[in-house]
Amino acid sequence: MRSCFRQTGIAFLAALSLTSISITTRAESPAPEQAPATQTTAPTADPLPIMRPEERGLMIFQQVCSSCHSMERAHYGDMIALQPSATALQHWAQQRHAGLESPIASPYPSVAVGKANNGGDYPPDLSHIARTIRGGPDYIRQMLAGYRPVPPGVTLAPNTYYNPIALTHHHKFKMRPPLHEGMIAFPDGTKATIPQMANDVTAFLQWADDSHRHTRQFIGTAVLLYLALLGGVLLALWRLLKRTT
Amino acid sequence: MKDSIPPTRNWLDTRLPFLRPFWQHMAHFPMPPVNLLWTIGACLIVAFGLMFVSGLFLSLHYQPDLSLAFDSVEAIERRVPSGWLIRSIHTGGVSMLFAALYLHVGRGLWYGSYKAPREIVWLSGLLLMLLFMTTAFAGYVLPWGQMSYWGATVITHAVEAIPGIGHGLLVYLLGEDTLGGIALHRFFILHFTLGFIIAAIIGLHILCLHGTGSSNPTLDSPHPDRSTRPFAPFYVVKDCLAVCVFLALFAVLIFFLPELLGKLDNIIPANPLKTPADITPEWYLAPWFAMLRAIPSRLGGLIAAASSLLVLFLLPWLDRSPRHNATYRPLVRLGMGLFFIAFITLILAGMHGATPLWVWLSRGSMLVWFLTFLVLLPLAAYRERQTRDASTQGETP
Ligand code: HEM
Repeated sequence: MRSCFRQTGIAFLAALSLTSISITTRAESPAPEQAPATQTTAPTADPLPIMRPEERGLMIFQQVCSSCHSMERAHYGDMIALQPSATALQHWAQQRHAGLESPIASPYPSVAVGKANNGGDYPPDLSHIARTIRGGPDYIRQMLAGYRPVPPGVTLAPNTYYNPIALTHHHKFKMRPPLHEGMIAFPDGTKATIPQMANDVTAFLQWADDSHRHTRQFIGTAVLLYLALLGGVLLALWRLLKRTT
Repeated sequence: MKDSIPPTRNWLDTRLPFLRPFWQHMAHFPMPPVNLLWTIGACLIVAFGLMFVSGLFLSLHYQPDLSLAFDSVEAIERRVPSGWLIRSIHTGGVSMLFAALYLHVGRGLWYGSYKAPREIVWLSGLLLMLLFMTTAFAGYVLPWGQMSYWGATVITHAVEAIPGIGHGLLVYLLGEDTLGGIALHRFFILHFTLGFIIAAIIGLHILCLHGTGSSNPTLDSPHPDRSTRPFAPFYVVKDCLAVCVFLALFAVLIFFLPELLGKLDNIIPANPLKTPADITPEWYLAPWFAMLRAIPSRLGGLIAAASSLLVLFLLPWLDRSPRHNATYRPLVRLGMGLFFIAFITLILAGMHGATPLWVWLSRGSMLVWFLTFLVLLPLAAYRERQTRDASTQGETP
């Protein structure tokens, strides 16, 4: 019995020492979901930097979305995970009369001005839009690439655009088409097609809603493996003790 | 040199002489042949420990102020190093803790753990359950999201149903007419303090249990097994194994199914002017929410919900049969089985809208709840005491 007690103790110590191994991860590159094939331009002398979809998405957000939408829950400085240059972020923040520690506020001074500039609908905050909007990321991806020419027989009010995917106002959408072919030059050479940009900016919005997803899944896997190991040892010990005590 | 310390004895044992007898007691504590349901107590200790520690870390960064609360939670999620991990342990831990708690109480009901000589263990456990419910409710208000605000509004206004003093009491408790900054600060202090109170009562609960020992689920069976094993090492290992499985489920929940936790409405800041489409409580408080809704009168609902808990305190005296284990008590087996179904129905009812179907299912379940404990159990106990000759089992003197 004594020796069994000692065995238990050793198992415990082993368990504890394993726990103290710290896990440090950097979000690994996620596989882009149904990403259109990344096309690169003619090879240049410099190797092109490898960019994750959400990193390209941040560029789109900075240059396009943030001219109408806020992302109040995030700070400019939070983007350091996607844009490692603090100077570049500082520059972006300063352009918007803010600092790294300010929330990414709406460009409009008031809700009334925001509405007036967008055909009567206020551009919603994007902090958690990937989770809160009906249809989630899939909806966002399709809606952004969903603008179509106005079909015959449909008349649109001024500042209204035809988008059969959009949820509001029976396809008569108040957001002017944000994406245009080739509007951004991505440093990694990815061609800025509309489906490509819709995909990347959606990845960014998912990241903004839930930035720790990849780290979380990595730690979760590690924890489960560890518990499986510990559980195996304990199970063996338990069955041994069942016979001997 | 009378004082000289024998070198063989441990330094700490010499200075704290009660340590050795304490460990001796724990190691040799005689355990009857209990089944796996008796490992849930250990899981509860671990779950509470995790809640306590993660809660302390959260409170370093949380700000109980109307204008800062919501953002401080977002800051914990986004900017505090490992903040998201600590917060997910705390928010996921509530569900794990309540799941284990209800299983633990269910075990007590089925195996008659509430009976003599464990009444105080049972009562201290019920006190813990009430404190957990209060703590969970107070904690849910703290992030000050839409569901925090509206959930708290609905529940605090139930107080208003108390005749005469209702409104005055509500204003006194909230510190102002409506749920606002003063109330938020109070909820934080309540939530924080209750953690320590619960810790103390858990100690008391286990102390009381060690007075009488765990109950023996085989005593009422045709083949009672009166053998015991010392707690160490067998039950130490068994408890650790159960805790390991519990933690694995915990990990699956917080790392892989986070969308099951937390309502969408709660990542929207509280807005007193905009009621969310439907106000639903977390699953672990849903049964009592369903009861409040099932009774047309507000006061009646409040009384029903409160009595459903109070009746549990009376169980040791409602069921005075010497038999413990429902497996060998046909009538009780039926009653407890129905009660478990009723409890799950009430959870579902509380989480769904107040459609006539769910309201009537709630009413039926409440009927089962009260009939089981107030009629069926005393009746079964009475009959079993009449035919006492056949049952010298059990351990009641
Ligand atoms: C966090 C809260 C709680 C903790 C940490 C806790 C802990 C424990 C532990 C460690 C045991 C011994 C192992 C076992 O039988 O599983 C135990 C036994 C017991 N607990 Fe709890 N408990 C808690 C809540 C409750 C509640 C809510 C009740 C009942 C309403 C309760 C009633 C009992 C009873 C009756 C026993 C003795 C069981 C028997 O041997 O038949 N406990 N508790």
